[in-house]
Amino acid sequence: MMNSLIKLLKVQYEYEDIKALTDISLNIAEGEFVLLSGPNGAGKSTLFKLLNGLIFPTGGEYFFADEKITADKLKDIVFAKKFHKRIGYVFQNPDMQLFNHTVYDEIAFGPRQMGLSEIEIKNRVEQLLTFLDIEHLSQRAPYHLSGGEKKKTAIAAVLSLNPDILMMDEPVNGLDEKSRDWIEQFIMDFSKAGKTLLIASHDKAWQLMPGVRVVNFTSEHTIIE
Amino acid sequence: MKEKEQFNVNNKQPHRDIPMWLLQNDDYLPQKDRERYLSKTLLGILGRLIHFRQQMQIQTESFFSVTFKLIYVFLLIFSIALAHTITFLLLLLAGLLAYICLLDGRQILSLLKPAIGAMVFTFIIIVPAIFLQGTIVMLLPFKVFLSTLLVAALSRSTPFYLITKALGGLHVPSVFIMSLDLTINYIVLLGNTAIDLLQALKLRSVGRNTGKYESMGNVLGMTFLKSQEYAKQTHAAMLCRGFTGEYHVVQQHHWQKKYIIYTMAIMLLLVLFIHIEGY
Ligand SMILES: Nc1ncnc2c1ncn2[C@@H]1O[C@H](COP(=O)(O)OP(=O)(O)O)[C@@H](O)[C@H]1O
Ligand SMILES: [Mg+2]
Repeated sequence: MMNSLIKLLKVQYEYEDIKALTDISLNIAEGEFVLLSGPNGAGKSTLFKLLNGLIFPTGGEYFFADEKITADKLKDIVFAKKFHKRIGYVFQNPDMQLFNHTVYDEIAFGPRQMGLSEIEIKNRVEQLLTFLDIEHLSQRAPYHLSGGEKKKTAIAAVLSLNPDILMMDEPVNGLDEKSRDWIEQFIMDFSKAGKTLLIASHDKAWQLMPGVRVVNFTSEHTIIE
Repeated sequence: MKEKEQFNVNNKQPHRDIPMWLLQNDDYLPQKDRERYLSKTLLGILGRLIHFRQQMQIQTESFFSVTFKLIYVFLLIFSIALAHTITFLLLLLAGLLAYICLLDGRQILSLLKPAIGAMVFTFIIIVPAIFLQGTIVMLLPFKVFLSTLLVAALSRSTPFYLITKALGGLHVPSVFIMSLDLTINYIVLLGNTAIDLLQALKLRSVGRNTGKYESMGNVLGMTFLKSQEYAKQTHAAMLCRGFTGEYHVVQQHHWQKKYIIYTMAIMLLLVLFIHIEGY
C-alpha cells in the first residue's frame, strides 16, 4: 500500500449561496492516476482550488500528506511554500497562469522562489524546454504564444517545481489535435513513470487510458466511483 | 480489462525522455522570507504608452545596455522637464531628428504619431492658459513632444521585458517591477478581451443596433470585471508556485567601450544644459 497523499473527508464548499461541493470523500495515494470526469458546473475546478489551498472547506476536512490544510496553517510562509511546491496545478486557462516576460523566466519562477542556484535553475529550465519541445520559445513573451504553446509553457512552469502530484484542469480544452495527442501521451508517460496525477476531463476516451482510476463528479456536486 | 486495450497507446508520437530529476522527489525545506504584498495596477497608464505588441522578435541586446539607455532617457526627460528656455530643447530636437533620419518611413511614423498626438492634446489643454500667461506656456507641448518621442524611441528599440529587467539592475524595488510586468500582461490580455467582445458585439449587431453606445458600455464593463478575475487568478497562480512576496530579477553585466562614449555624450549634454539654463 502506497502512502496516502490526499485525503478528503466529507468536504463541502459553497460560493456565497451556490453549492459547489457536497459531501466529497476521496483518497489519492502516491503513484495513482485519477481522472475526474463529470458535466460542466459539477465542481471539478472548485475541487482543484480547494486542493491547492486557494479556498478552504466550509465543512469537512482536507489532509495533504497527513497534514490538515487550513487557512491558518497556510499563513505560515514556510509551510505554505512547501505545500505549494508539492502540488503542481495547471489551470484550465493558461492566460491567467503566465505572468512573466519570457517563457524562460516563466519556467524559472518556481525554482527561483524555492531558492535554487541559478546554475541548477538553468539546468532544470533547459531540460524542460527540451522535454516539452519548446526550446525555440525560450525568449518569447508568453502572452504572444498560441494556445498549445501556452499550455506547454504552463506545464513546464509547474513541472520545474518537481511537484509530488500534478493536477490539470481540462488540459486539452480548446487545443488542436496535435496538441491534444501530445498531452495525452505526456499524461500516460508521466503516469507510467510512477508520478501521481489528478486530471479533470470530460473526454470519454480518456477513461480507457491504461492504469486510470475514474472518479465521477455528478451534477449534485458530489462524487461516485 | 478488454476495454482498456481499446485505447490505442501506440499511435502517438514518441515523447522525449522525462528528465531524471523529475522522477525523484525533492528534499525541499523552504527558507524563511519576509512577506510583502503587491499592488498590481500601479503603472497602468505608463504601459499604455509603450508599443508592447511589437516585441515578438528575439532581442540579443544585453541588459546592461538597456540599463544605460534607461538612465539616458531618464536624465534627458528630467532635463527637458526642468528647462526654462527653448535653446536646450531645440538642441535636443536637433539630436532626436538626426536619430530619426536613420530610420525608415514606417518607423519614423510610429515614433512621430504618439509624440504629435501627445503634443496636440497638451496644446488643447493649455490653450486657455496662453491667454492668461502668455507664450511661455507654449514650451509645454514642445516638452511633451520631446519626452514622448524619447520614450517611443526607447520602446521601439527595446522589448519591454528587458526594460523591466534593467529597472531591477537599478535597484528599483522588485515589487514595483512586478507591478509593471503584470500591468503589461494585463493590458495585452484585456486588449484582447475587449477586441473579442467588441467583435462578438459587431457580429451580433445585425441590422440596426439602436443601443450601440449602451452595448459598448457593456463591453467596457465586462472587460473591467474580467480584469478582476484575471488579477485574482494570476495571484492564485503565483501563490501556487511558491510566491510569498519576493520577486527575483536576474541580471547579467558586461562592460563595453561604447557605454563610456555614450556616457560622455550624455555628460556633455548635461553640462550644456546647465550652461544654457544658467543653473
Ligand atoms: N467564483 C464563483 N462564484 C460563484 N459561483 C461559482 C464560482 N465558480 C464556480 N461557481 C459555481 O460553482 C459550481 C461548480 O463550478 P466549477 O467548479 O467551475 O465546475 P466545473 O469545473 O466542474 O465545470 C457551478 O455551479 C458554478 O456556477
Ligand atoms: Mg471547470
